[in-house]
Amino acid sequence: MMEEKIYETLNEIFRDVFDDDEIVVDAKTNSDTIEDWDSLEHINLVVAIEKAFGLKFSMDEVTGMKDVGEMVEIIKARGTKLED
Amino acid sequence: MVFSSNIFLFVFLPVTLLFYFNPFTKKCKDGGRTFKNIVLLIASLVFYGWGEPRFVFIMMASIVLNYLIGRGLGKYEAKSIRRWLLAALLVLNIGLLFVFKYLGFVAGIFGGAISIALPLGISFYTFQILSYGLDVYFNKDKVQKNILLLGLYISMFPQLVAGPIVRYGDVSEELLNRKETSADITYGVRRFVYGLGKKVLLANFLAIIADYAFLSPGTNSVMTSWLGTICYTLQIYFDFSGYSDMAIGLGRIFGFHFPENFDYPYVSLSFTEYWRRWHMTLGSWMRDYLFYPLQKSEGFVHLGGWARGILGKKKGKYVPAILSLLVLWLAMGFWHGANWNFVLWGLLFFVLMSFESLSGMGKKALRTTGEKGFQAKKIAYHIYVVFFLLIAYVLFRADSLPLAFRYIGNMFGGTTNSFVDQDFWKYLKNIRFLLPAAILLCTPFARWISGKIKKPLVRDIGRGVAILAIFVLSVLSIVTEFYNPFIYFNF
Repeated sequence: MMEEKIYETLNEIFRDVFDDDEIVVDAKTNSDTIEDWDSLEHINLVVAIEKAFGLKFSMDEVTGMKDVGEMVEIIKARGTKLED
Repeated sequence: MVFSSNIFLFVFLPVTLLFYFNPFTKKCKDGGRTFKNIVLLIASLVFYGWGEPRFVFIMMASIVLNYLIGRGLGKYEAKSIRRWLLAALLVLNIGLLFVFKYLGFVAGIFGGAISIALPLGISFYTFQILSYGLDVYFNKDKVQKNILLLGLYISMFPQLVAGPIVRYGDVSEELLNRKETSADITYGVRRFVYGLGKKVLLANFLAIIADYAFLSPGTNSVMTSWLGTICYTLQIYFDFSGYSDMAIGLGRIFGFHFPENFDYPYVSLSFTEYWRRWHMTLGSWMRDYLFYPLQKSEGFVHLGGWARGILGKKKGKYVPAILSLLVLWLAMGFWHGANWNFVLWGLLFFVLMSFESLSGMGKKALRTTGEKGFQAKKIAYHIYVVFFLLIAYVLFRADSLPLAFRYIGNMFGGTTNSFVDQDFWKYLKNIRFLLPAAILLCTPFARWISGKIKKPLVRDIGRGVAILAIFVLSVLSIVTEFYNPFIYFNF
């Protein structure tokens, strides 16, 4: 799947989860750049992404993802149900 | 064996170092790595068995059984078998903790009486073993096929009895591939001596006043009560972070890089920040192996969907998170001990952390921490943190819940005790130099000073003199057999 499309979908998810329409995610977006992204919100975000892309992150990936770039790499590697 | 004892400093450590760094190892095929690892393993078992030889066998049994489960997880890929092995892993380790740590407590609730001695450091090494098993289960780490190396990881004496909680992934590479460099050894020695000084020169003296105040809280004046909990709050920081310094330093001497455990927790402006700075290895362990997996479990995801349906999207999403937070803090409380005091202590932090999350105050305070310069709101946030810390430590330290309430009552003049008494002035006079020094050393003051010295030579000489002075004073204090308990050995 095209990277662009993944970012587009992630952008929607981030805006929805953090309730902020001004969010624009890129590879470097992380929990420091998005203020509401803390350990309480992390799993909400992860579950929303899993649902949208039809995949499951391993516990290792859940705790290891440092930024959106790493997220995209995992999603790309996994292949998803989203149409190209 | 404790680090701050004659036997450790003058017999155990020198003998271990002598065997470990002996010149003959250079002639071995693998550079002496196997020999060194065996030396370290034997030394660790001696260290552990010194006080209570029986418990070595419990730890060894735990290592063997966890090793076998790990091998099983490495061999079988079928999901059903792996699930059984995971169940065995959890039952074994949590069961072991339960029997030794909680059985007496649970029996007490039902009116029974069972008394079982607590094996040293069981809470720490069980968490380390669990992290290994879970990481193998989640395919994060490779199986360790050499039982001696797994045994070394678990039992390594620097971190065995009071942390930092080292995860298998932190040291798995270094078990076989590490270098003992002179830079690391120098750093390790320095770190060890700092830790020794924190423990022997600060914590032990503060303990005298804390112990007095908590001995019979019924008679304390208001001011003595405050002084007592302030001293205890300082004592536990220097005691525990000093132990971590010594552990990290010793690890470094043997070529291991353990994770940091403390980052000046008492300068925090919120508890959100505090728990990123205090006992960091326990906090991140709980987050990664309990808090996240629980929230991500099917049941909790369903609960989240259901709560969103009823409460709306915005509020509903917090239901599983807050419920997980409650479980986390009950676990934190129980981890520290099977005692209602610790349960209440955990619940207090649950309330504070929930408040900070839901109100957004935690994030505001975190932002304030990053801002430069003096601000009134920084002081307000800091007062809030210190106030609840002092209360939390009364719950933590008091011998029972009624005594804790009595103590807190005294702090706020809720009893007929006097406002100030002779004891207060006597103790305050005793620590008139120690108390300000201790408060200053809770902050990055020393680091700031050494950063100000620009010339490397001057800094090195300054450090050398400071280390020598701390070491000599600590040894004098130990040799004269001054009072010397380690608080975290009880967990």
